[in-house]
Amino acid sequence: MPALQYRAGLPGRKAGADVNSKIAVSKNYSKNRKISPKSTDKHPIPCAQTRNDVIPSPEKQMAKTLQFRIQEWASIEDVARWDCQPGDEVEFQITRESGFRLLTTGIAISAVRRVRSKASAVIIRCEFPFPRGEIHTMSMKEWPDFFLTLIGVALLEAADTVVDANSRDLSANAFDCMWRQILLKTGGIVGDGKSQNLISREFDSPIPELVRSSETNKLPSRREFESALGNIGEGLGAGKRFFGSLTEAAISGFLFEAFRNSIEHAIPEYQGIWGVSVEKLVLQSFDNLSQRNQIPAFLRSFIEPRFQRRNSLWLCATVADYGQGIQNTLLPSGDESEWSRLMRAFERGTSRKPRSGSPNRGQGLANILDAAARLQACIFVNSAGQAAFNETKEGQSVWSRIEIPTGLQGTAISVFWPVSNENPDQEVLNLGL
Amino acid sequence: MPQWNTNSLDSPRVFYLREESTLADVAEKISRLNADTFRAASSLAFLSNTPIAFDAIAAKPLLQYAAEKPTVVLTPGPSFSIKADLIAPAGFSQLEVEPVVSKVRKADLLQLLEEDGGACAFEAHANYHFVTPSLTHTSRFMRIGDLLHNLHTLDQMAFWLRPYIGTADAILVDSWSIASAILRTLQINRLQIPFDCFPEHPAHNSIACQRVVEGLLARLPLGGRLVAFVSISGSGRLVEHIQTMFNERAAGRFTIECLSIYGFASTPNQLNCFARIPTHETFFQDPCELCASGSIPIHIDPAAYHLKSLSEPEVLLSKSHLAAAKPFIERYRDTKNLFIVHHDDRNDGRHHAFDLNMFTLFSHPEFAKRFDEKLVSLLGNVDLIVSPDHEAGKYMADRAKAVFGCPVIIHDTLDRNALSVNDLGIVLNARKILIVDDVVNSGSRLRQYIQSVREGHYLSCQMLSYLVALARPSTPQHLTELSKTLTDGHNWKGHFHAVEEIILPNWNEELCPWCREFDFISGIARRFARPPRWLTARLAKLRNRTEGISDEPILLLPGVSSVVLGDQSPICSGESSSMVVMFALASALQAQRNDKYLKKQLHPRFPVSNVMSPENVKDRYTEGLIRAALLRLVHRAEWGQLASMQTRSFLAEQLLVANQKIIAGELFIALGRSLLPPISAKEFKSSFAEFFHADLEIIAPIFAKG
Ligand SMILES: [Zn+2]
Ligand SMILES: [Zn+2]
Ligand SMILES: [Zn+2]
Repeated sequence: MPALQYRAGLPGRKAGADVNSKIAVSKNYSKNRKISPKSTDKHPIPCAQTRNDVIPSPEKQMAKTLQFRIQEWASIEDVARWDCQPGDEVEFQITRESGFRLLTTGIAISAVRRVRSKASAVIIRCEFPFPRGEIHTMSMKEWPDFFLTLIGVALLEAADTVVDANSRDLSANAFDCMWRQILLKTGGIVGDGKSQNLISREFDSPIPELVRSSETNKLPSRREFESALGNIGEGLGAGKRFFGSLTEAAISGFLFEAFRNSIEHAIPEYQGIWGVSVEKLVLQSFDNLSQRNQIPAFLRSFIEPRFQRRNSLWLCATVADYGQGIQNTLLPSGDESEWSRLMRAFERGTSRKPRSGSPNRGQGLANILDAAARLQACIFVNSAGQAAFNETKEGQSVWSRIEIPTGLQGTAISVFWPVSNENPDQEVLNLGL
Repeated sequence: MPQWNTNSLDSPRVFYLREESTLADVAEKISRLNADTFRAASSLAFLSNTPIAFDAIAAKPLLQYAAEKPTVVLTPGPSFSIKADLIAPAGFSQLEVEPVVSKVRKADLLQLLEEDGGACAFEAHANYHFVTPSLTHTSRFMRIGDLLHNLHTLDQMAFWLRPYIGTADAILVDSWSIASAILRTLQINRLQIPFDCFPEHPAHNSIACQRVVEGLLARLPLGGRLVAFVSISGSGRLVEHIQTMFNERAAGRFTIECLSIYGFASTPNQLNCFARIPTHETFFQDPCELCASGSIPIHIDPAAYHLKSLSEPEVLLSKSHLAAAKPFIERYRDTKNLFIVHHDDRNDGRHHAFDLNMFTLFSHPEFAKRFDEKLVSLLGNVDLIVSPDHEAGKYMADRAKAVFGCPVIIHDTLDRNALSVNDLGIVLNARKILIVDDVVNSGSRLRQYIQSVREGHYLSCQMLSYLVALARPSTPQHLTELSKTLTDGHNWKGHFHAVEEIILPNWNEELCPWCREFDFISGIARRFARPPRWLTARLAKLRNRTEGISDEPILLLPGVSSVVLGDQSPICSGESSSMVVMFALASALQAQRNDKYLKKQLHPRFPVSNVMSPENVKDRYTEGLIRAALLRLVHRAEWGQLASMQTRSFLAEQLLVANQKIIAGELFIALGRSLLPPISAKEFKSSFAEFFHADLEIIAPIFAKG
């Protein structure tokens, strides 16, 4: 079932909505939208003028309102449809079930960025009520789960208008509260027991407080980064020491390299959210993998032989930015295809930072492969329209190409690995098994 | 047996016992006590970091010596408490802890000060007084860190700190000068608790202090307790700072306890001070009565809590400093995209605060002419051209080849083992080698070539010339050294040639003023959920170090637009861009820092500190653009202590003048980063209201309440 629906009316929404037309044509958002009465004069599309996004004049064609309903376990294909013509309004409809399959985060981060850069207004319509009371006093636990993810925060940041099921207009406060009351206080981490996320914001906070070394915007050392990951481990219920344990040290290394790559190679043109997300997959011995919608098809064949009908826990860690894509940071050689250029980036010694004297030059992405091999993990890379899946078979690192919709920028590098239930580390037992 | 009541502890004599001491040691100490001291004491108190067992045999003589003075023993109790026991003939009688601890602690800490003989107190004299790191003017300043100069004192402090440190989840300390006491406490008690110190007083570097607080909070478990120690509280402003920083970030999620080890009798009562120094202490507001009466305010260093240098000769940036770079600046000042700041060099992977786009320079007709003239002047002295393996080098080699018509080798080192057989043959036969390179700053590549020529036994080489398009040494002396390395001690003749030359600071990211601007304004932007446009636009530029900045080097606040240099400026010709002015001044300051007349040198050191005279911005350079550039380029120490106060006050007033608005952004950075003495939030608001409008309330709290 597609997540994208060109619908103007929502079930349960009252009179005035144009239920039959597939595209609601409107020049003025406030005319045919019933948000809270105050919203239009107080926040007339609050952020459009304050952003550096180009908002082309919608003279030539009539601006439309596009609606994207986010399903339970939305897929890469669903998310890749988030697009619009310049000047359109885009509305994201969010239900209590809304969520994403594993390995969808990267595409979503780029798609949010794309919509934000074209749309005249971005609206979030929640089909559930926000908790009553002052939004500014809301603790992380009170926030709807959806917004405690990297994608949720990115959407919130991109949105001009946020409305809940009671037509309560949260536009002025929703992101303000998320940023100032949650993210600034946690040093950049949001999440619940299902996922934990480290939020980076261009341009002022590309390195979140928690992983920043002292007072500068300098990258932290690997060790400092690792100790910050402790908070993510704790948030997932694995304890502060989880990412420092022997096996998972390879994951910290992986995340560190990917994160460093995003920082060093990003030349972001727009402000926005990117970051790190760690998601949990819990399998029960009786699970039928083909019925677990959280798992994208191409990942199923990786899990299948390793699952062995045991209760098990898996983690999927992703570093996702909306930058130019790995292959685009390399100088093309000859008539090399984009795909081969992407593959070349993972070869040892290929550097995207020419002639630097540092011994680490050209090691970043190769190190990532090493870390994955050590963990028996698989890697999923999507980078500006190219996507690749890597697993280690008989000691050999094998790449396969995954078809994904084109037209999106951004780099996302994910690692997916089993947190073995035979791990002697007691803390793992708390992970939800 | 002496009568016990808590009043007996009003003026106790306190002793600290070494580890593993016994009651016999207590008796020993009492027996050796000076009679006057003994008489003055209302009671005797003994502290030990290890338990002391009752021992009836030792107790008997002890109680005889102590006669009518109650004697108490304070030792570690369970869960980091303190146990207080009165020594009686038959055994210890346990006392109610609280009144005993606070009285003994106070007496002990004051006794420490007394025994120190005032070494940690700075007393004012008729013609000077102190400005504490919290910017309070006072007639007396105490540096508590100076008390801690032996293990005994550390252990004694540790005894009092233990109950607070043992129950903390994280520890914040106001100054590294007392960190040893905290660390010693952790060590004795084998504790691993997150701990950090303010690098400087928050009135001077609020942002760095906020980072420290945030770093600690990030390591606190939910509901955790942060314990903050302040070495000495005067007006109480520091504790207030800490409370505010904490409340803004963590109120409700964590708890905090602020403790002052010392305070003064006049310190506000709500502060929890272990010991209050009874001397009547006066604090004054800035500008204070003492200042007004002509007494000199001496600043206490906000990081080290030491006295700053007293001797602060003021120096001027003069025409002679500007002269060296002037020809270069005048020749190229109209060239677009030549001057870049805050730029990652794709060739050497380094970050340059100041950089020049070599290809823009190459395509300039004036440069091409000078380059060709240089080449022609070398005719007859070249039979091999060598260039490093980069585009700029290859371009130069091509041009040289057109003049000399000799072979070209593209190679980074000329290392014999790294050369192809063919190239090696050519090098072995060459008698007059010309190495071309685009830029020389440190000269490391040149040294590498020389080493290869020497170690490779390229014996036919009789002449080695080195031609660079641009020499950009950081000091004038540097170039001379460089040409020496080319000739000294070698069998060949050597010459160093540069088509163009300019002295520029070789600042990397540590010193790059734009990297620091990025740090500073990213911290400002983070305070906003939706940072205003002027911030994000600037941050976007600063974030992109690959491109660097080649248009506006100055931070323009809302409503302020870019300006060009006026006519008849001593810097360079009128209409020059702010970028050109920035380079001209960066070069001039660098010349001033290396002036061979030491008295004119800008040289902020201890104990004699040549600093920028306030006259530089007052009378000498009156254009807003020049003042703005100086604010960007002059280091904190170079503004001086006393001088910087005048400079700051003058520039803050200038914000009101219509043609001086360009300095607003740079002054904002200088104050926020404490390059100049910071102003209070109130002063900030009144000076900067016209630039920040609604954002003012969000930005102002980075400055201290005043
Ligand atoms: Zn004074
Ligand atoms: Zn820089
Ligand atoms: Zn360089």
